[in-house]
Parts: sequence; C-alpha cells; structure tokens
Amino acid sequence: MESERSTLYWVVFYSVIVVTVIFFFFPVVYLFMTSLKSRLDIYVMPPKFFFVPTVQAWIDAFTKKPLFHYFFNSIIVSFGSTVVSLVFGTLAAYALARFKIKGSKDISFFILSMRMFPPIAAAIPIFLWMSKFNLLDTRFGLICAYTVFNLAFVVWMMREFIMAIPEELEEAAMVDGLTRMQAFRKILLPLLKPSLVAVAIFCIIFSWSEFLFAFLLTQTEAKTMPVVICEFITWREVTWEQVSAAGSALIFPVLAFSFFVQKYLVRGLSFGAVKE
Amino acid sequence: MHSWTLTRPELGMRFIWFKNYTSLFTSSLFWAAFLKTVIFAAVAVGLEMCLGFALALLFNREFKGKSIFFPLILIPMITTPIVVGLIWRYMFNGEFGLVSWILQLIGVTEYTLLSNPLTALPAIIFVDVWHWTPFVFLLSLARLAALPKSPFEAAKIDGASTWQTFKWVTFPMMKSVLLIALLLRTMDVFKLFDEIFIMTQGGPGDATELISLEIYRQTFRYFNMGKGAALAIVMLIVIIIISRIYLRVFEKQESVTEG
Repeated sequence: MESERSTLYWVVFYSVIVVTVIFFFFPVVYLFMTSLKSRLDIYVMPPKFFFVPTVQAWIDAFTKKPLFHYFFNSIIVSFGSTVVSLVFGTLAAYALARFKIKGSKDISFFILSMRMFPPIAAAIPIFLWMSKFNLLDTRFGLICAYTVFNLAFVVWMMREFIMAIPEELEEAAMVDGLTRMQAFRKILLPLLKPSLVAVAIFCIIFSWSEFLFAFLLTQTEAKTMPVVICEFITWREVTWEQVSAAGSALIFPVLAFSFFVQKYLVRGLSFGAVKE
Repeated sequence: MHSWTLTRPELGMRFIWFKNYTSLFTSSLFWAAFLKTVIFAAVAVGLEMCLGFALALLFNREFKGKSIFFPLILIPMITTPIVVGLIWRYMFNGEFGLVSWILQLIGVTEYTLLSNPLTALPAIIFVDVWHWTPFVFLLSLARLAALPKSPFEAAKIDGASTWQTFKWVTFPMMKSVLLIALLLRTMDVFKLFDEIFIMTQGGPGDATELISLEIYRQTFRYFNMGKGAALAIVMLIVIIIISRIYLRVFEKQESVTEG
C-alpha cells in the first residue's frame, strides 16, 4: 500500500517529521553547543551556529564551584534512596501480590496516590519534620524524602511484575522444603532481575532530577546538582557557558540511563496503566 | 488551621479555625493563581494531547529512519526539568536568545517573552508543550501499535474512508489511553514547579504565579506556614478528585487488557 503513495506524499511526510524532530531535539543540542562556546560567541545577536569550540567553560564550571562534590552528593542521594526503596518496596510488593490481605487493592491504590501527591504540598510537613530532627542539609535527610516517592513507585511497579510470574513456581519450591523467604530469594528474585533493574533506573533518574526538595532541604553541604545549576542563575549575571556545561553534565547520565530502560519507558511513565 | 509565622516565633502557633481558608478564598491573589493554573492546564494539556496524538498517528507506519527519529523526539521528556527551564530561559533571552532572534526575523517587536507580563504565561505554556508532548506521543504510539488489526481490515473491506476509519475505529479504541494521558498531564500541571521557578520565579509581577509557586511564596518566602498549608490542602483536594477519576479509568483499562 505504501509504495502506491506519490512522491509528493513522502516529501510532505518527511518534511513534517524532520521539522518536528528538530523542534524537539535541537534545544538540547543547542545547550551542549553553548557549553562549548567562548563567552564572546554567546553574547552576540544573531546567535552563532559555527564557532571554534572550546572546553574552557567546562573547566571553569568545575573549578570555580566544587561541582564534583555536588555531583557526588547527587550520586549518593540517588543511589541511596533507590537501594532503600528497592529493598522495602519489593518486599511490600511481594506481600501485596501474594498474600490475601484484606483491602490490599485499596492499599495499593493508596500507595500509588502517594506518587501523584504534589511535592510542594508535602514540602511543608517534610520541611518541619526535618528541621525538628536536625536532618536539614544532610544527605540522609534527602534520601529519606526521596524514598517516600520512590517507594510508592517501586511497590506499584514490582507488584505488577510479581503478579505476572505464576505463583506455582514458588509453591513447588516450598513443597520441596524451601522456606518462603528462600523461595522468594532463590526462585522469584532471579526472575525479577530485569524488572528490578528497570525500576531502579527510573528511581535513579527521578532522584537525580529532583529539584524542589533538594532546594528546600539543603543549604550548603548536601546540595545536589539541580540546586547548584539554579544558583548559577542570579539576577545580576548568568554565566551561560558555565551553566550550560553544568546542565549538560547533569543530563548526560539521564539520557544514557534512559537508553537502557527504553523497553520499560511507557510502563514506567504511566505507572503500568499502558502496556506495550 | 493555625496562625504560624516562622519569622515571629514569639506569637507561637495559634489555633484560628478556618481563618486561613476564609482569607484564602477572599484573596484575589489566590483566585488569580488558581485561574492561571486552570488556563495553563487547559491550554498546555490541550495542545499536548492534540500534537502528541497527531504525531503518534504520523509515526504509526513503517518508514525509513523511524528508529533514528523516534528516540530523538523523546529527548525533551527525559531531560531534567531544571535543565529544561535553563535551556528555554537561554533561548528566550532578549539579547542573544535563539527564539528572540527568530521572532525579530519575522518582525515581532515584543520579543523579550519572559520579561513581558502579557507573553510570559504563553511562553511557559510553550515550554511545557515542548517538554511533555513527547509523553502523550509515546503513550499513544504504544497503544496504537498494540491495537488489533482485524477492525481495520473490516473497515477497509466495508469501504470506509480514512477519516471514517479514524473516527469510528481508531479513536474509540484509543479513548482510554488518551484519557489516562490527559489525567496524568493535568495532575502534573498542578505539580509543575521547577521549570517556572528557574525561568521566571512566578514573575514578572505575578504573571506566571501558578498555585504551586504561590504555595512556595507563602510558605518559604513569607514564612506563613498556616496559609501555605491551607493552599496546599486546596490543591490536594483538586488532585485527589482528578486521581480518583484516573484510578477509575485505570481499573477499567486493566479489566479490558486482562479480559
């Protein structure tokens, strides 16, 4: 059928596709381009598309502010909260999927609604608690805050993945003399590995990108990358080439990670509501 | 329900019943923020739905280079929100921004979009559309690709036109997934904070002050905990209503895919 279409059809079709792709893709490329510009090449109108690239901005950005320290913070916080949420979340999901608990469906939906909860509304009580327990400006405090949201996601997704695995497998193992925990560890976990990796990457991306809590709950020590990027922007002056470098450094890991979860992207983003 | 101002600790926390709420509902600032949020949600989500779905229909066929174009379109969606704000603040910059340059080229005189109260809201709506259209696109395309083939073949045999096929076959089967995308996006608009914060901080004046920014301003700028919390509760009620609808659709969807 497709081959019957005229050349004109394909010309129009491809122009539309190319224009949309440029629209969605180019701004990110432009950010990266800016990070390679010298200051003189930035402050000009019309904007320059061809210039001599320089890594000066990257060097400046990483030496003038202790960016490595903040990068490290981001890594610790993302991985920390991901590990905590995965351990507790998977166990909770197992319970919800396998045991007949009264109102387990309501519990699941309640957990899901935690994820839909607007962070700014949760920010006030969390801020007050954190200041009471002296957790403000600590990485541990931030890990706790992120775990609230990650946990909900992990429970919801893992419950679905566990339910997709036939219960008979574990039952057979338990008949053979394994305890429930052993059956969970030896039979179920290996099967869940790919799903666990996917869910973990989603949690990492989420915590890596999170701004609001990091901004409100940290001051100097535990700041993460998004907060630092925001600080580059002051009303007096914005060092665009440096902030672009920092921004590019922030999104590269996310883009790379997303590549690995492509297969799960739809599921993860719609909380499993849409299946591929 | 407390009067609690962190900058004046000597006053302590006083219980004041519903005063925070009554002052909220009578304040024009609240209604303005609420109205802006609703406008933002309606326009941005509307555009995202139309564009995303149209794009998905376009991509729902085989053509050369699909595997290259497809991931490129998804990039905005996985870009960190704070960086999205950063990119567009740079693009909209009046002195050397790309968008301003293009606007000047086509003869627009008001090209400093973000610092003009009239154009700031449309500008951030535009950014939201850029950021989240790929999301609607991805969900729609995933569903389109999973649709059964037989209804389309039947429609073809019956001699239905392309438009008729779309209206009577494609669209009804897509309804549930579109509704899910719509509700998820609407909830996200109420949560939206990072991009606006980095682009305009709610300004100029209060032109882009959506509810989430208003909560932030009340609580963490004026340290008016009680009022901020009251605002958060109002917002929560709206979100809960939307999420109840979402869950109902979700359950229906689940029974459809399972059955």
